[in-house]
Amino acid sequence: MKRFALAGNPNCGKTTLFNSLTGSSAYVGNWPGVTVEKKEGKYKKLKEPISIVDLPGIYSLSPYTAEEVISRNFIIDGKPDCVINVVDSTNLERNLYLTTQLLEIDVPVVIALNMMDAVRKSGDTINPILLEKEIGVPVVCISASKEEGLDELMIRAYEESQKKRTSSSVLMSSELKHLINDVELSFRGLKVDNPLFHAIKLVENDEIEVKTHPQLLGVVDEFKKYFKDETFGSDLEAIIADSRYKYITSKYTAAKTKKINEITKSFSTSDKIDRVLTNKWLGVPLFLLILFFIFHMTFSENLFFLGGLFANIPPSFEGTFFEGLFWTSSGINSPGVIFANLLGSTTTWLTEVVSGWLSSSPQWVAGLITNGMLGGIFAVLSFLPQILLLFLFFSILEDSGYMARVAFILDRLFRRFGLTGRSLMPMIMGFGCSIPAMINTRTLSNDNEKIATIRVIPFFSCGAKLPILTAVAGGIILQFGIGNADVITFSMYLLGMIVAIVSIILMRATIMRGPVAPFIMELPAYHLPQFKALMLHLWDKMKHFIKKAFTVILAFTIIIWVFSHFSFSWQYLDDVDIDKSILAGLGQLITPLFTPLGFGSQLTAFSWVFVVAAFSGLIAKENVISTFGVLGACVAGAIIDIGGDGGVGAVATMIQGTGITIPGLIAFIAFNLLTIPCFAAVATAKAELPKKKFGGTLAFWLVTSYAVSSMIYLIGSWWWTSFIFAGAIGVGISVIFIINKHRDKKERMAS
Amino acid sequence: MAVIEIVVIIVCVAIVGGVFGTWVYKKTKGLPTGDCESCGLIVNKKKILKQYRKKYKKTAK
Repeated sequence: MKRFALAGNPNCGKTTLFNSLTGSSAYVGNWPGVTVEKKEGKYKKLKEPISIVDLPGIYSLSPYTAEEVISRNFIIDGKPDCVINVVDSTNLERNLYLTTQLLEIDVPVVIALNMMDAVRKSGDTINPILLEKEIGVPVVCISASKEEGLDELMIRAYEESQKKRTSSSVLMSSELKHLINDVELSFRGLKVDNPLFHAIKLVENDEIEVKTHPQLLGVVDEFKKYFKDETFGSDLEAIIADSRYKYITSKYTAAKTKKINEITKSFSTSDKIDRVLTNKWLGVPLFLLILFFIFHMTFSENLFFLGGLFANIPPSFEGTFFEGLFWTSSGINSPGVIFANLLGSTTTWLTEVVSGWLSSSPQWVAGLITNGMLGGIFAVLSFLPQILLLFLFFSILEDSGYMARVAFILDRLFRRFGLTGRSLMPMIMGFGCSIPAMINTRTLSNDNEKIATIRVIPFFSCGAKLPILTAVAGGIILQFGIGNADVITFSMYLLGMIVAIVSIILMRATIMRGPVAPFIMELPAYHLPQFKALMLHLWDKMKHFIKKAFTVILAFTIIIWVFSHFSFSWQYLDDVDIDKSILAGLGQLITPLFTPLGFGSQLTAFSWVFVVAAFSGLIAKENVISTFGVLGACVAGAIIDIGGDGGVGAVATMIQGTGITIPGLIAFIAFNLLTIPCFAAVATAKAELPKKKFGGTLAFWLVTSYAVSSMIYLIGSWWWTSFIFAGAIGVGISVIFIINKHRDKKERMAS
Repeated sequence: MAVIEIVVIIVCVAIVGGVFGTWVYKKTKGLPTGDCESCGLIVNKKKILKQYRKKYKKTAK
């Protein structure tokens, strides 16, 4: 099967094109560096199926980061039958820089001028025929997002793949042509594939080329002795880059016509929006305001804080199955809560129906199916609407181009702490799932920055942790009658971010000292998010969540139910006797360890349930709530059931059954938020971290979660302990400051 | 033991065995386990990583 590679600059639309060609639903984001791995799919509209490979974005074929190496290796060594060079037409000049390098490889190349709809909209024109004539390879105008020109592109690429193309270089008119020719001849002598490409890279002093062919470096060094350029001296890399841009400018000017009034137009719409959103003073507060609005629309049961007006109004659908769907005496429900209520009512009805069917079955069968399997799965699924709504908002921010601005806004802040805005993108991805976020740290070239980023990514609450936050927040409101769900959830998200920043400061001030790398990031133009792309994001999320619920979580609820209903002598136990179960026995062994965190031995009954739930989260974080779902039903057998659907009801039951306090519950959320993430994320961290850094990372997660949670519990329970903590932190900061000052002085003296 | 009890036991064993068996099989064969929504699409992740590490080792750049 023929293989076509999609190569181009970051954020030029390769993955959108890949999705359109192959019908895939790979992750697309409106910021540079989303794709860090190659992806493969099939295009089936031609005579034979074509394998399409989507590569991470690169600015040139001299790579600096891991994902750029993947692209270069595939283009050079993977021998694709054709390279489709995706070019952002709104940024033609810069994008063609990579094109000039691709032409130096013996591979058929077709240029896809993407985003032509945006070019037309701005009033500019690009003449593809003229560009094709000048560059010497086919040029096709496309719009990947609107699926325009894709068939023509594939037909041209297929035709090209059947021809043999010999490399050519735009540098043959430069003053380096003789040197390049000489080095190319040497490469031909070595029978190396793509001799022209390797020759130019060696002349450029490319790191990989110098490492692979050091024996040929002598020719270049000899040339440098006698050669001096007026502007660049003997810096051959700069001369080559300059020659490429001179060439591009001459061809680009001929092919592209700019709208006449562009010169007089001082600011584009994107610029005008940026004047407000990236403002030095307004940027961060606006970001926090937007974030709070999202949480308010997703979790609030008192929308726009109008609760007071509803105090004497009966709840919507009073006396029916859907009572309180739209509003209650607390206020209007946010869209997220309305959808969650709808699903909650449906799952409660379903459980009642199944319970009715099983009324004549043996007790354990009814218990396992209704309390165990359905209780566990429904406890987790009850949060699906809110998770989807939250991610819809995040996807809108990402697709519109705002998230790239957030990296820019926070770079100023992060730089003070020893990180760049670049590391913020993986952290933001961490709100979705820690695994792709950790893989995305390959875009970071500095090792210290990479380690610090991987360590704090789990602090950015992922989708799987959301049920824990929402269920416990809901449980607090239901049981204690205080607070707002959106404020508690938003605060816990902020807590994660604050702990991440403090951790980074500590790491950079102690074990990871060193300079901060410069940060350059291309800001994409704002555009309206595409409905199809948003739906693809949500569909992916929902598919994954439901699949997980009916596989891993279902299997785990069965295990939890079995271990909580059998004693060590394998005797079946009724719900009220679960304190004698295997699970209780194992849980009670480690429960004392969690006493300083507020969910250990101090609980009046079932003290082990919170510890067992936290441990079950190591398999998948959703298990924490599914465990509550399974055990909540048993605890409810021993106490009065206080109501509430799904996970919230299960947590409220647990609160009443165990006598846990509010500080203990907040500490429980914090522990789950900050501790070792799920096994899959741990495995990814191990693969991505440099050698000998994995053990330290595990210890870091454990120590941070334990320290922060115990601090929350102790200060929340006994306010005066805050003075002890403040004193200890003050001493710690002073010690670090003194040590660093002493070290700086020593280093200055040594230098 | 009633028929429903035998059926429930078989179904539960099949679910637990199926889920964890599939996971162990995929892990040993180096196939994507679908642990996260965007990772299922990655092809030959291990091979690419190995290739990259061979060239650059697991050290600072």
